[in-house]
Amino acid sequence: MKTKMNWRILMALCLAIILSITTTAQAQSAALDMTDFKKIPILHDGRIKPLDTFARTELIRLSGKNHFGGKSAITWLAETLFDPGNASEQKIFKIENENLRHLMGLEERKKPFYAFVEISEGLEKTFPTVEQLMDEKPQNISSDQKDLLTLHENALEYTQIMRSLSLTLPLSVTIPQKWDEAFSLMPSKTINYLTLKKIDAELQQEIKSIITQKGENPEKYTPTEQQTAILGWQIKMIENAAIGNTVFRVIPDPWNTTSGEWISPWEVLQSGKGSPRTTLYLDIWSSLATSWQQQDNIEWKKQNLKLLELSQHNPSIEIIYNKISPFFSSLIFFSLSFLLCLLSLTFHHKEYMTTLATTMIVIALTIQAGGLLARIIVLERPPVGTLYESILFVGLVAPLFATLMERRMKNMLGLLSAGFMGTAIGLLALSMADEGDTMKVLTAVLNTQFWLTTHVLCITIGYGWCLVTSVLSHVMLVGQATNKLDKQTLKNLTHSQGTLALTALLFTATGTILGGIWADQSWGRFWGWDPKENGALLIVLWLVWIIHGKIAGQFSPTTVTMGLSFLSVIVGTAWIGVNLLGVGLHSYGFTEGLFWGLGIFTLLEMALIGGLSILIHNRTQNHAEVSNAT
Amino acid sequence: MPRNILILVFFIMAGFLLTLWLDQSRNYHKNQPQAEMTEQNSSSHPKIPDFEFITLDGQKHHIKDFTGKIVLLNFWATWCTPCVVEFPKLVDLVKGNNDLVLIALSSDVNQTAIEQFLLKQNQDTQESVRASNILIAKDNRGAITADIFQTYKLPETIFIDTKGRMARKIVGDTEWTSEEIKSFLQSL
Repeated sequence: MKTKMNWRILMALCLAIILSITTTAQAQSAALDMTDFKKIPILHDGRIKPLDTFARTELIRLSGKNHFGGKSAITWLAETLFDPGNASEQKIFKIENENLRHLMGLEERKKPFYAFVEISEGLEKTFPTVEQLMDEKPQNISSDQKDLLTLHENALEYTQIMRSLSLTLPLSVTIPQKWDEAFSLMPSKTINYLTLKKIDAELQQEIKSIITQKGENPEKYTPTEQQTAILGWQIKMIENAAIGNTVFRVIPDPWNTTSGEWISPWEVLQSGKGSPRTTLYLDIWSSLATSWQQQDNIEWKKQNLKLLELSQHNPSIEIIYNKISPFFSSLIFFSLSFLLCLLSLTFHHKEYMTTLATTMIVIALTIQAGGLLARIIVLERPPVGTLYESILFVGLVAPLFATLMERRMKNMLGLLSAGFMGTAIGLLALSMADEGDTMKVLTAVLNTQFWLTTHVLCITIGYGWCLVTSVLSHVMLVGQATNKLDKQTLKNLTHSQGTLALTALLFTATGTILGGIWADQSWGRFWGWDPKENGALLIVLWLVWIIHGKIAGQFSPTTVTMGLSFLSVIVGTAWIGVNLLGVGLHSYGFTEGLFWGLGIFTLLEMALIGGLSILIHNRTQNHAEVSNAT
Repeated sequence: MPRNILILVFFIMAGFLLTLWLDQSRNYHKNQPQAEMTEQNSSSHPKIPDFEFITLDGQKHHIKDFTGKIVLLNFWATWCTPCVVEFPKLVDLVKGNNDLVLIALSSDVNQTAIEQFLLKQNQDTQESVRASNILIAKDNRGAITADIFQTYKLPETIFIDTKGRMARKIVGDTEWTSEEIKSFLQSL
C-alpha cells in the first residue's frame, strides 16, 4: 500500500508531461459502436467480467453514478483509456465532504464534482498526511481522514486506468532523423511506446555518448542531439508512470494458463510475461487505440471482434443483466402492484385492479427470479453468498410466499403484503448496490455449493417466511385498530398467521442446525456463540416463545399478533444487525447508514406496534363498555 | 396450502440434489489422475511461431529446424548484467548434450559487442560456443525479441519441447545447473 502511495507523487508529476505527448481523439466518441467493446473480458476483483461491468463499477466508485455527462459508463471508460489527456480534465471525482474540499483547496460548486487536474495539487499537498494516516489504526481515523484516504486511493486507481494503455497509444513525438528510416521500415503504422522501445537500447547508447562528449547541459547539444535526449527521457517517463500498473487485466497469463490469472498490458512488459499470444493482444489494443484516434468505426468493430474471438469469453448474460437492471425493474413492478392493491382495497375490490395487481406481482417475481438466475449463471454458485445477495433472495421468496398466501385468502391482503415487501426489500437492496459491482467472489470457506444451498438458502427462506408472518400480523393489527376486518376475515388471518409462524420456525430452526453442521465441518465446532449464530437462535427462540404462549393460552390473540409483528425487528437484527458488531465470522464491518437505518426501523416498529395495540385495546374496552351498557 | 408447501419442498430438494451433484462433479475433476492432468497441461502449451534468425557466422536458421530437440531460446544482451552472468552457465548446461539446443538471441546494437564479449569468456566457454547445438545470433531492432515474443525484461529464456511447444519461461537469471532445471528438462 505504502509502495503504491509512493508512486503516486511520481505519477502525478509525470502525468501532465505524458498526457501532453499522447495524441487526442479528433472527434466525439459517440461515433464508435460500443456493443462489442463492452463485452471484452477483464479480470477484476477476482472474477472475469465484461468491460461494461468494470466501467460501471469504477464510475460508481469515483463519481457515485453509473453514467457520466450523458455518456454510458463504457463510453467513459473508452475515453479514459484512449484519450487520457482529455479524461484528466473531466469532472469525475465526487467530493461530498466539505472539510475535505477545503483541505484540498477546491472551489465550492453546486455539484461537488472535480477533475483530476483540479485535485492533483491537493493530492500532492495532502500526501504527507496520508502517509501518516496509513500507519494509524483504523479506529483512530476520523471520517474526514477516511474520506481523504478514499480520495487518494480513487485517484491512484484513476491514474492507473488512464495509463493502462499508454504503451499502445499513438504518440506525437519528434523522432531524430537517424531513426526516421528505421520507423518507416517497421510494420507498425503508428509510433507508440512499444515501437519506441525497440530503439531504446540504441537511443540510450547514443545519449550516453552525447553526455560523454558534451556533458549534461542540453544547451550545448545540437538540435538533433536535443531531440535524442528528449525522446530518451520521454520513454523513461512513460515507463516510470506505469510501474505497478495492474488494474486493467485484459490479457490471460500466457505462461500460467491453468491458474486463471490475467495480466495488464504493462505487466506483460514489466513482469516478463511476453509471448506470441500477448503480442496478438497488444497488437489488437494498439489497433483499437489507432482506430479510436481516427474514429474509424469499421476498424474499431473489427478489432473488438478479434479481441473477443481471442479471449473466448462470452459475457452476454452479464451484459443483459447490466442493461435491464432486473432488481430495479422488479422494484418498479412491486411498487406498482402495492399501489394498485391499496387502490383496489380503497375502491372495494375492483376486479380489473386485482387482475392488474396480480399481473404486476407475477412480472416482478419473474424479473426478480430472472435476475437471480443470471447471477447464478455468471457466478456459478447459489445466489446467497453475501448480505446483498441474501436481501435479493429474500426479496424473491417473501413476496412469493405472500402471493401463495393470497391464493388461500383471496382478499388482496396477500398481494398487498407481497407488493409491500417487494418494495421495501427492493429499496434496501438498491441502497446497498451503490458500492459498485455486487457480484463478489466469495472467500474459500463460503464457496462450497452444497452448504451454501442447504444452510444459507434454508435460513434465508426462513427469513422470508418470518417477514411474511410479520407483515401479515401488521395487516391484522391495522385492520383491528381501524375496525376494517370482519370476524371471519380475522379468523382466517389468525389461522394463516399460525401456519406462517410454524413454517418460519421450521425453516429457521433447520437452517440454524444445518449452519452448525457446516461450522462443524469447516471450523471444527458445531456452535461457537458467533453473533450470527446467536441471531439465528434469537429468531428461533422468539418464534418458540410466541407459539408456545399462544398454544398455552398465556398470550391474548393481540399479544401474539404484536409479537409476530415484532418479528421484523428480530429478523432485521439477526440478518443485518449482527454484522455491524465487527466481531465474529459473519462480520462485514460497521456501516453507519445500516446502523442508523436499523435503529430508526426498530423505533418506528415499536411506535407503530405499540400505538396500534393501544388503539385495539381502547376499541375493545369501548366495545365491552357499550355491550355492558346495552 | 399443503400443496404449496409440497411444491416448495420439491424445489428445495431438487436444489439440494443439483448442488450435491455439482459438488461431486467438481471434485471428480479435482481428483483426476495426475498423469492425465499433466498430459492435458502439456498439450495446452502453445506452439512456437516460425521465425528465422542469422547466427554470428552468417548462417540462416528456422526455429522449426530444431523440432525433435529441446530448445532453450535465450533473450540476452551484453549490456545486461544478469545475462552476462548466466551465459556461461547456460553454455555449461547445453554442452555435450546433442538433444538440447541453446539459441541465444542478443538485443545488442552491434555484432562487434557480442563478438568482443565472447572473446572475453574463458577458454572452455569459447570452445563450447562453437558446438553445433549452441547458436548465437543478433536480433535486429527487436524483430524477434520484441515483435514476436514481447520480451523487454532481459534475460528471459523459453523452454521449447521436442514437439515445438513453449513449455515454460524463466524471467531473469537462474541457477541453470540446478537439479530442478535438469529434472524439468528431462520431463520435456
